[in-house]
Amino acid sequence: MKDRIFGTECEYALFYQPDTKAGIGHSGGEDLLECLNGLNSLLVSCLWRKGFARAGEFLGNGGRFYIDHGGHPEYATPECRSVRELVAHEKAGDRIVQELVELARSFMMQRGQSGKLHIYKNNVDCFGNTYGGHENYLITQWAMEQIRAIVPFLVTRQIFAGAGKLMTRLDPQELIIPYCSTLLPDYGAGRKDKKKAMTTLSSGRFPYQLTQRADFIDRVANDRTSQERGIINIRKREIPQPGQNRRLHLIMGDSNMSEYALGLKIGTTGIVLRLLEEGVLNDVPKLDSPVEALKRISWSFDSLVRMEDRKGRYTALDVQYSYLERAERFFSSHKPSKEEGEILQLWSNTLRGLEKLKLSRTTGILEEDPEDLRRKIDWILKLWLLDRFREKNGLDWHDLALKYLDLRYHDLDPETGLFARCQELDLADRMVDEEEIHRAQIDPPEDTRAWTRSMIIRSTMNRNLEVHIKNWEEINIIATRKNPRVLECLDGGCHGMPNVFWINLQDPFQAQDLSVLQEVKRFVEIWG
Amino acid sequence: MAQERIMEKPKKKKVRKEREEEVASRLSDEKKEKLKKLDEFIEGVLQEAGEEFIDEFKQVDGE
Repeated sequence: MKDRIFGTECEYALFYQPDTKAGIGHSGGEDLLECLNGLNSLLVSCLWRKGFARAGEFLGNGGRFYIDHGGHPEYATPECRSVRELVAHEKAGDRIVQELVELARSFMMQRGQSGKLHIYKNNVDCFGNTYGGHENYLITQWAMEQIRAIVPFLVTRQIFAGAGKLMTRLDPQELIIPYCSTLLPDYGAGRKDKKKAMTTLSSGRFPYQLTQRADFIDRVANDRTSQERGIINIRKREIPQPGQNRRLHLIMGDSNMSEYALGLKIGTTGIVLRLLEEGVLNDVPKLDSPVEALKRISWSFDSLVRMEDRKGRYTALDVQYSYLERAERFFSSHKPSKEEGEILQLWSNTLRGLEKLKLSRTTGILEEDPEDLRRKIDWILKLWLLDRFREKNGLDWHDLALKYLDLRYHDLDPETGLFARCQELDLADRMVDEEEIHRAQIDPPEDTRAWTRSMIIRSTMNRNLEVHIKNWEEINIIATRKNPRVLECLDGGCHGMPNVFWINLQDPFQAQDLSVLQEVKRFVEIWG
Repeated sequence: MAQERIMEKPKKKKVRKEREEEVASRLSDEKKEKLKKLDEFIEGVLQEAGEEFIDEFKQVDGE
């Protein structure tokens, strides 16, 4: 599949710190839940007050904003056909939720509820709860059947896609201990040794991981998104037609602050899926134990992992190079698209930069970064920032001020967010410009069904119509009973047109479906 | 003439080197300025959070 549909879903974390001591921070669980529900309702009402074009959860820019099951505000991008557009739309989502939070703050102030309200784009809170940064790729049915061939790529891409995380003592101990003991060369896997390793973790070795999600992944493939999580998420809820393209849903990745890391994560995954569909990953080596490898690499960049039917052990870089080399070989005889060519170059440059990266295994200090990857990769930028502050103030890696700064890295507020400030000071590279992000806050991609959906939303707004968008495909437009004409014509329809219009945008590639829009226009003229 | 040209060469080199040094120093000054702003920002973030909040954070972390 040369053309692909990409999409992401970000679950954000709300942070509220009341000014008064008797605030919610000191209340019980029920109060906390009530507060969270109140904040979420406020955000949804702010969406309406901001005047965004929308129908239910779906927005005029083709995206979707909603409150997820776990009480997280969530933004899903529209269906995008290019990586660059996807980056702009994910960033547009960040801006939209931040704008909602700013408006919510002002309403809270008016009500006399003073305090700090922030929204974070990360994947784990200080209680050890996790929430996702999900990716969606449209792939062929055949590729879905062979999907395990990309598992080694997914496990190892964290070396450029990880968002970085400073561990706390509340992170799942049963996860930390075994992996600590297998990582630290001096300790074995016995209980005593595990205890010793844990002591070392809390007192000496720097507790920094490449990713936030790795510790929460416990299966290679799974259809669930909480309690159990797979490297590959099999969506059993979706029952596609035979031969129909499938949605590959990945929940194992981190949410990225860096545009560059986000673009590279989506772009390289897209290229590897193309290789899979072209049948050039048939002989790709498989990891001996993918879930363990995922955690090991997260704990230490240069961890060694075993491959099936291969002697010796390999680094994540070795595995990445094996995919890159296959891609370069394939594209030497197949002309890549302009974007594929750019992503290949970025991938190659990044791996070469990572090869030259030097980290101290004992102190965690970033000793050498000759290719300036800290300008591009989240976990490296965060590590550099934390280490700089730690060294300047003579702090221990376990100082809570560092953990607090880790959290602030993901704060979407340009006034208080650490990554946002790095970007403002030109300490982080960009993939898209402000104009593209601003446009993506308003307009949908012009080359997918998101455009048609958006036009339907816009043309039916402020009319006597109810628009129910059930999912990314199905839209129902219903003439409401508020309209006197509805009561007159309910029995036989108006001008031969029933008062309910059902639309199915089945093909995500079909953009600007003018015949559908003509019918919608006629429906709106008659009933709206 | 040839002698003049030979004499000119080192001059140009010297000027170029001085310019490069000037640019490098300006870049370095810019970088220093950015890092200074970054440090001030981080200090501000922690001050705004306040010691009391960091203490609460410690309780959450189980200390």
